[in-house]
Amino acid sequence: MKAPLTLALALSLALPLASARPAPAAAPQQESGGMFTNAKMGFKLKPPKGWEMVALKTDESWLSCKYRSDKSYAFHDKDTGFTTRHTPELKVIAFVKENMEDEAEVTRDEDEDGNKRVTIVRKNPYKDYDDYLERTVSGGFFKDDEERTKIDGRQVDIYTYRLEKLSSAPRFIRTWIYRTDEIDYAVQMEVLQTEDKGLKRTLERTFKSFEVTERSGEDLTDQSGSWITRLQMNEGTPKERRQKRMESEELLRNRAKSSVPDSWTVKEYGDFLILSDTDKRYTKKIADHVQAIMKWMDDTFPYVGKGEYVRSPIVRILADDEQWGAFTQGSGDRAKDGFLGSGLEVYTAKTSDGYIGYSIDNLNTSLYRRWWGEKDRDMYDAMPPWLRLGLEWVIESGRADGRKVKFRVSTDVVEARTYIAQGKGVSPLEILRMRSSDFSGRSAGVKLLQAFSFARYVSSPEARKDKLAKKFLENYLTTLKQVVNEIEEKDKERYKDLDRPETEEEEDAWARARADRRKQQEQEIIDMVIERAFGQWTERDWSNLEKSWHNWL
Amino acid sequence: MKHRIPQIAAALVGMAATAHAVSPQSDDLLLLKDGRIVSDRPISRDGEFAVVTYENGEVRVPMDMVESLVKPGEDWLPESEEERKQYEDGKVLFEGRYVPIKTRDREVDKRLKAERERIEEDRQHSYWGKRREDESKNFMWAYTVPEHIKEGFVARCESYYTQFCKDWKVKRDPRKPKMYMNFYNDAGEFRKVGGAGGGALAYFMFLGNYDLNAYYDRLDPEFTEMVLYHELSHYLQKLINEDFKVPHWPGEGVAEYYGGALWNAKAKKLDIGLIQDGRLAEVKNDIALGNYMSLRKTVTVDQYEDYNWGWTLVHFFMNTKYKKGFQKYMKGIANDKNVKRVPGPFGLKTVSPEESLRYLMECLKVKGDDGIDKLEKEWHDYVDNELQLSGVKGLENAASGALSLGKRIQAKRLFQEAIDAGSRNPSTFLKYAQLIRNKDRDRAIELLRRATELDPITAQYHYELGKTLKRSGEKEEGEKLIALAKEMNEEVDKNDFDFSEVSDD
Repeated sequence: MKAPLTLALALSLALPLASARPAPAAAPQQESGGMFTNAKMGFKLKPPKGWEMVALKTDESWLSCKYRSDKSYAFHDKDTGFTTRHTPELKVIAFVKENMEDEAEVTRDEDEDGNKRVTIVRKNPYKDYDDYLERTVSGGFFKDDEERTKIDGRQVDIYTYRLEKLSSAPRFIRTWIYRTDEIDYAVQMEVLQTEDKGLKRTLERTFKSFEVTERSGEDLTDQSGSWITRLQMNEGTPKERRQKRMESEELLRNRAKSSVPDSWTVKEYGDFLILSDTDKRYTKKIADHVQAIMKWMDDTFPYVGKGEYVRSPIVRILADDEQWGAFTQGSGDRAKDGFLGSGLEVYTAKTSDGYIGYSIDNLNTSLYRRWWGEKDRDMYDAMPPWLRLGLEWVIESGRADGRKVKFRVSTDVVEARTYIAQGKGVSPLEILRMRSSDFSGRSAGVKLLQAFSFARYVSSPEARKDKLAKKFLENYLTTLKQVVNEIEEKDKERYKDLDRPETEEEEDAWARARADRRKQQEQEIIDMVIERAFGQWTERDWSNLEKSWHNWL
Repeated sequence: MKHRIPQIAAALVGMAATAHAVSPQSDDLLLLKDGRIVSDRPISRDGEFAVVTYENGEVRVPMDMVESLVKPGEDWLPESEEERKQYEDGKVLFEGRYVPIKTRDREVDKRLKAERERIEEDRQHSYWGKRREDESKNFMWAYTVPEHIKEGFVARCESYYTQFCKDWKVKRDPRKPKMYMNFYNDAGEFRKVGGAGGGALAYFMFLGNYDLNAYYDRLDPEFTEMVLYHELSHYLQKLINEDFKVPHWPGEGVAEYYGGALWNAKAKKLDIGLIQDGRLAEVKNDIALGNYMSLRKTVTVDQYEDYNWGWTLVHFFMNTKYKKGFQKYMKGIANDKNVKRVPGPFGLKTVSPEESLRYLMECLKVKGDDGIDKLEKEWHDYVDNELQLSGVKGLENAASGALSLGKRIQAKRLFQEAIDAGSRNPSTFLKYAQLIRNKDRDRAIELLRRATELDPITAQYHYELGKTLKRSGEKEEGEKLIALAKEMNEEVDKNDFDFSEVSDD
């Protein structure tokens, strides 16, 4: 019998733990007298008048400056009838030659259960400018024109790219690459094809204003090297995990603080670090909001991941929709929060739809997922879709009201009311019995929206006042986790001692048994959870729960 | 005195050439029938092979893969008595007759120049920025594939258009611009320029003036053909009613049905409704696991299975008594006044799943739930009994399908059967070798050697052979092949990590 094997891959996601380096990946940017200067990379240029500087991501190792026009332009597609708006952009991408080697660090060890493990951590830098475009441009593009020239004795390659297929509007990317021994500087400007002629002189002036200057002498090697991976933060005893997470927190906070533009506000609000490019009042509002949401998570699910340390997020507030759009695209996403990565930043913006809008919805979802990811990822993964997504809908609609969170009336509530009124109601027990396949097909929406509204009810403060509803979610989730673990262990045992098939017939039987098992497993989990968590419940109890939910609706 | 003999596709000249000494640069050019071009390396002719010389070894390319070999400046000496005699008179054998050396040189130079120009032109136009454009009867063509490859596809697509229009009584509006067929040289260029996601093989842009994007898969031209037909079918389905959005099934089912077509070069016609081996392998895998698709679900739920089970349903309709009814449904769903259409995406009309099912049953004259159940049974019987995997491709797809289900014993048998049936697909040899290489290294090496013979200019096969040789103790040859592979493609080992410690292969 072979030992169980696992394979842990972290391709392109994170970098190994290394000695902490103080220098930020993206250096602060400076403007003076209409000139932009980046002393670390050793260049300056004059952006078009009125264009606005865009902040760079904490983890940005390539982009050295970014500007957006103060004016946006419309493109009307006569064929499709669609109209799109586009804001011209300027970027300088620095390709430090020393940083362009693709490195992979491979470590071989064993996990806590003694399973052999290979971990691959890749840096995956851009091979060249074309590769940079391929990985950062959305839609299709191609090089339409190129020429080589010399400016001040330095080689300059001038490229024109067309962005056309599957693109929101036909655009040009015009790029001048200034070549030096150590660094290639790509000065890139993006405009609508229909506006190219009108902006030609502006573009030319900017390209020609670029100058290579003496560097300040800082280390040019990729400074994004100091990372503590998700794997490292989830291993060991709770104390060790806490330690690793705190180290990660400090590392990422220091890096974020030192990479924001001078004009931004950097402030600690309680446990959180806020980086803000908007006014004090809105910044405070968001800080209060984040605190309220995190508190709501802690208060609503006190039984989840007791004692697990959750890193406090770094909240980045962008000035407006334009900044949000410009900031979130392109490279340098390692610092961003995510389930697989180890980043810590969550983004929001003072968008045109305000505090009720999508950027707060997104912020809430990020906070929700981050909280679960560090509290109890296994429990999160065990949740059936109706509950995982349902709770996501709940949190998305939450807004701070003082220290509390209030939830807007969401679609699930409105639709659930209608379905119930139409006699299409689904009972709580039916919701618990739903399988993944119930969420596709004609009547999926009817069931799903009612299930979401049920998730909303059982996680609401009102549910805490109801005898049956108040512990419903806790019973369900804790039992669910136990059951899933038990079944997984049982299945592991079941397959461990089985002989490998030696004939095609045995192999067919093996494959069919596994497929059947997968189907059975879902049903088994549903049945066991209902039996264990609610086995004592009578029909009357279920009926009362349904009534209290409907009354709440 | 020595005379220069430029070599054009060696068959033209018909004589062996001595190998060049290795030099970093060379003007030699090798154009393969699949469109690939080898250059910047010395290339010589050795009997039935073109030999490309790299620093770490030679790669022998069978001449039957070669479209053209261009070699300027070859020395030649007469061999037979007769040749020597004629040679003394200032004549050489050229295309079966003795001609003055100057005449031969002039003619060969002329052809060489034309050939080099053709290859150079193909190469220069292999980037989208330098794409060529052309017009055929019903399409505009923008392409970066070599001219001879595009030509082959023009004939096929025009024939397909004619056949489909005849079957479904549709035609394009001559007042509108012809649709662009954007045909890319490889998958990378397609994804970069076309902007499609990682897994896409092709796409049809159904808004505006329409636009079809696909790439040429040189390892599997038949697959390219089928993918093109699939996307083209979406365009032709649009012609039934341009303001209507065909539901996912039957849109994809019909596209796959017409995608299962191949050009019959002898009969100069299309064979339509062939078995889609890859799709059928997926369906047979589902069946092996006891999963039959329901008819109601196929018609009413948008799902991936519309490509495989959906295709079998269309195949069933098109090859049984239901053909007329199904064709009536396809046309009527977009045009019949008695169909209740609703607003769909992008300002187009569409139908609800319920209405689609109702109208299908009306057209097929099937009544009630019992009728649907009976029809479903007929369809499943058809899939069980009439649709069978066959031929080399079928075996290859079945082997890959078995592998994806973890059925390694079955996969081994099927790969072997595909090879016994005459597979010349190097990736079949590679997959089979990877499957057995930890347990039967000698056989794996044999298979990988065959893969390098079948496709000698793909670095990956040399690389895998080198790795396997190294593991079997033949370190020197293994390392040499790995070095050769890296010379051919420096990124060949980019994502290759040694998992042997944790893998139970």
